[in-house]
Amino acid sequence: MSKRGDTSAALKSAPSENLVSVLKKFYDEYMTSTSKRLKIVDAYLVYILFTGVIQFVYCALVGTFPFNSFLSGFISTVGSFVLAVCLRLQVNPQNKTDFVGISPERAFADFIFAHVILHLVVINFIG
Amino acid sequence: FPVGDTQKVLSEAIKDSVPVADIFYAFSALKNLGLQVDNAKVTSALTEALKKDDSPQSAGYGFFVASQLTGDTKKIFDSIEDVVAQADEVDDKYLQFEGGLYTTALVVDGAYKLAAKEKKAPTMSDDKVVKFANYFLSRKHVHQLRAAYQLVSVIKTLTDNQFHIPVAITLASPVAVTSSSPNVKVQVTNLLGGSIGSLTVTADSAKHISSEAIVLSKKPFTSKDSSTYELNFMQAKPVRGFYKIIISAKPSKEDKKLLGLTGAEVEVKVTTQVSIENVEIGVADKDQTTAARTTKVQYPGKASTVFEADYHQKIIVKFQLKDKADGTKMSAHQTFLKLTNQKTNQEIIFVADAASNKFDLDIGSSAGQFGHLSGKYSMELIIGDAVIENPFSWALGEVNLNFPEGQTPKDKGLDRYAKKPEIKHLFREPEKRPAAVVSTVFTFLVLAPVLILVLLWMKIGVNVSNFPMSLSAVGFHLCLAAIFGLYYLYWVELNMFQTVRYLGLLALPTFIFGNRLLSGIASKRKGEKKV
Repeated sequence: MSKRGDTSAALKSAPSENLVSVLKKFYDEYMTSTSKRLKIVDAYLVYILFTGVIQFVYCALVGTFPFNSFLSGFISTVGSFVLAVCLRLQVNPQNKTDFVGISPERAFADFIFAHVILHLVVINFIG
Repeated sequence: FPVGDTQKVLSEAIKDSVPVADIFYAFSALKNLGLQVDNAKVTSALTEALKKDDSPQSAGYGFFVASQLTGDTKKIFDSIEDVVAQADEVDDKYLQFEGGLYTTALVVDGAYKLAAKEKKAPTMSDDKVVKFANYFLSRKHVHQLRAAYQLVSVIKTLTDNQFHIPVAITLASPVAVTSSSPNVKVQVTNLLGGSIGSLTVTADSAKHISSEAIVLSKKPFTSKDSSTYELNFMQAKPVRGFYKIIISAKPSKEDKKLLGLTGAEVEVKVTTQVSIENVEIGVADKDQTTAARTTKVQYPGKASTVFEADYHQKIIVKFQLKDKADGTKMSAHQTFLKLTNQKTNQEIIFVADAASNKFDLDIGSSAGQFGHLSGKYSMELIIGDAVIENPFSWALGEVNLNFPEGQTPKDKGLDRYAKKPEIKHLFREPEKRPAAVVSTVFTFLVLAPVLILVLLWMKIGVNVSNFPMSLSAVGFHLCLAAIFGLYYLYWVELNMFQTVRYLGLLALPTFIFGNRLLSGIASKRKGEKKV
């Protein structure tokens, strides 16, 4: 998350405070300085994360019997998470210099395309 | 017997382009019915057919036809030599044609019938005739009826034709020659067993098969009747064993026709009585080679004391076999020691060491064979051989065997032919699945984050109102939904090939709509920025 690093760089200069206040500061900065778009993508990321965690807990609880199903579900969440992160990176206007020639629309199109392929594989593997 | 068209049909069947067998059958039918035969036509048709087909079987048919034709059949007669040359020699003893018994018998029979007509001996050397005769005699087990007929026919021909009569010399007495029945009898006859006149029969030599010793030479047989001749074989004092006697016969009246008069072989065996001596039974410790105390037993007596042996020891039985006829030591093929458990009647048999005529029975190591059953066993010695006239089974005595206690007797040994225990097949048990309740709960749990997502998006203020109601937008979203619908179908019933095909179909509109939608959004955004 180095791109949010420049906001937290400002925090580091402040006197060292305990963890809670750091987190609170972080949260406030985030809320104010991130654009709505990015917040939408972040919400999506959180959702994916929860889904993955719950799947993992279920597998840990009842065992891996249809292992392929567990794997496919888990990989679906992991893959979606990764693709969403890529989308966020490419769409963030602060990173424009790193992604020359890739407009946000292009990034979104890539995101959709990759998802189509990912879900084909996931459905194949789910058994 | 109305003849009618038969004459016409049969005569017309004999033409130039017809196979030999057909000519044979038509011709024979005409002859049997006593009908007119055009000899010239038959001869020319036959020569044509034989030129085209020179297999031995056709040649045989040709001989038969030629033997009944009037006219010049010299060419066909001359071909006998060539046809016979086509036969294969087997084992140096037999001569046969590739077609088997039927063809061989057909050819030979036909050749002699034709020879009878031509009044000339068929051009077959003597030893070839003898080899044919050997072949016919060896084929007593026939598979085809027509081969049986032809075999009988040819044998008859070989006994009463004017040129070659093979002679059969066969053993007429039992194979075993003993001092009580010392004569070897042979029969010298033609192939059908009929007499061929008086002959002087001589045994040229008698050879012992294993030692190759020649026992007699040039001894004459005495004539018993018109075809049986006898020789006292025991006069030559032959040693026990198997012998091959080579016999030759000379007719008292010179008869050029008789073949196979020399080199006939006959096999006999000389048997003898065996006596057993110096029998010693002893019990020794496992590592000793000879017993400290041995009991001598005389045949056919029995040992007076019961022997005692336990599993540290071994039983030693020694004996000597002597040929009663000449007092030499001999060995037998079958020397067994049989122990019978007196309670269970179980028999355990051991083989002696043939060279030394000694039994060395290690009780400990053979305990398994006894089933670890201690108790009284009776011992019997069994001696036998092909050349022993008086094989015997002799009860030597009794022995008490002691096996260590506690060994579980091997269970009766599954009766090999009884039903085996049924094998129950266990199908692979399906893996344990969690309770349905748990699965359902977790299914909902997994879907729960969607609600969280919706909540968060609402909180952030997702801009749904900005949805452009253009074809591309709607189309794009619909196509995307269709793709995921396709995936659901793929999970439920389609296979990969169908799915990829449909996916390909859907991809095109999706791409087009998506492209247009996004470029629209992009240009709108750029437009906004510019402003």
